[in-house]
Amino acid sequence: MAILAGCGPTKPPSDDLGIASRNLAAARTAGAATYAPQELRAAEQGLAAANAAVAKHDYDEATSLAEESSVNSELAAAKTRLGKAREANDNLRRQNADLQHEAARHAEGASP
Amino acid sequence: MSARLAFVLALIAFTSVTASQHAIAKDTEYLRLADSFAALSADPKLGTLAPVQMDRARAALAALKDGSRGDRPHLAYIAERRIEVARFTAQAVAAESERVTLQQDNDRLQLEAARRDAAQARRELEQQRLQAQIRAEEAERLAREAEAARAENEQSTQAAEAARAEAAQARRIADAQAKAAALARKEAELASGGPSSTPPPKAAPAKRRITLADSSFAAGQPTLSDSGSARIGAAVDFINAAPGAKVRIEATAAGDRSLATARAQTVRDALIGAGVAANRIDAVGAAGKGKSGQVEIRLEGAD
Repeated sequence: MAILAGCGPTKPPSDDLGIASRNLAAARTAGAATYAPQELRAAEQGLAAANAAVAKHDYDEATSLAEESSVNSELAAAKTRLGKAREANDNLRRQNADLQHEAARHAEGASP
Repeated sequence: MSARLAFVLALIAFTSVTASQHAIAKDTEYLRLADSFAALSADPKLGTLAPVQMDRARAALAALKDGSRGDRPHLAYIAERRIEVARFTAQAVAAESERVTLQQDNDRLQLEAARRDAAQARRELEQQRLQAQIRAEEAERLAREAEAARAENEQSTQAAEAARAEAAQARRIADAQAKAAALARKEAELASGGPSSTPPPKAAPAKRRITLADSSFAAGQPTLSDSGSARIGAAVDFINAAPGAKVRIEATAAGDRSLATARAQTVRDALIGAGVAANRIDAVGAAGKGKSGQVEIRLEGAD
């Protein structure tokens, strides 16, 4: 046990935690609460677990959890980006369909 | 100490049989993710759209492949999510690219709609302008009609005034003519009196004769003098005033009967020349008494 325990890191993975924290903030700012709530929650829970592991000096665990939180934040952000793009496209398609319908109606009305 | 570490320790404690089973499971997990990644990479639409995320997914897969047994669940978790990040990012890039096209269509359609609206507005404006013009023309027409009616009224008034003026003028002319006729009559009457005869203007209606004195002829000749010609003019008026009467011309010439006859004939010819019918005239000449002669024109019978 002592040998295995000695294989782990001896200080908190501050870089990984920092990256996870910034990725989470970016996902929130992008609007992940709306477009990817599940992924955002997983990222939040992962970062909290990572911090908890740091508190227990389980830095190996903290590193893995921070990395998982980071990738979940990135996933939330990517899903948000896609959701926003699709939403915008849907709006444009609706508008265009309405405009085309109106144009056709007008063309009919103009030359009956 | 983490649960995973305990798990690894437990694995070491187990037999090689379970280890080989885990090796199969590990390969299965890796192969599933590798297939998923390969499919995304080969996707004609999405494969090339998120190169950075694809690289990181590839690296995560490699880490899973090479990873120690203890890190496997974590590495598989990361690799699976990295592939998902790459997929979502590629889909987002594709959607954003599509959005450019949709936005161009939208801009074009909005422009068309705006042009239609503008054209419609122009048509409505033109229609309103035409209606306003029609109204203005109608108002102008009514005004013209009213003006024409007023003018006509005025004109008829003017015509009536002109007619009245004309009538008054005609009356004046008639009056003047009557006056002139009266004067002419008076002149004729005065003239017919002659130098030797009594001039009775009041007796004009009863007048039946006019006399040409010896001075009305050239001395010793049957031809008319200037004053004689004037007397003939007066005689014609006097004869014409009594169209039903016969005209008798009696001439005397101081014992010269042939001269008297010639003078009577001269007067007859002059009267005929002035339009008196020849069959109304009877002319005689006589030698007469006294130094000078005269010619008397006398109306006889009905007048």
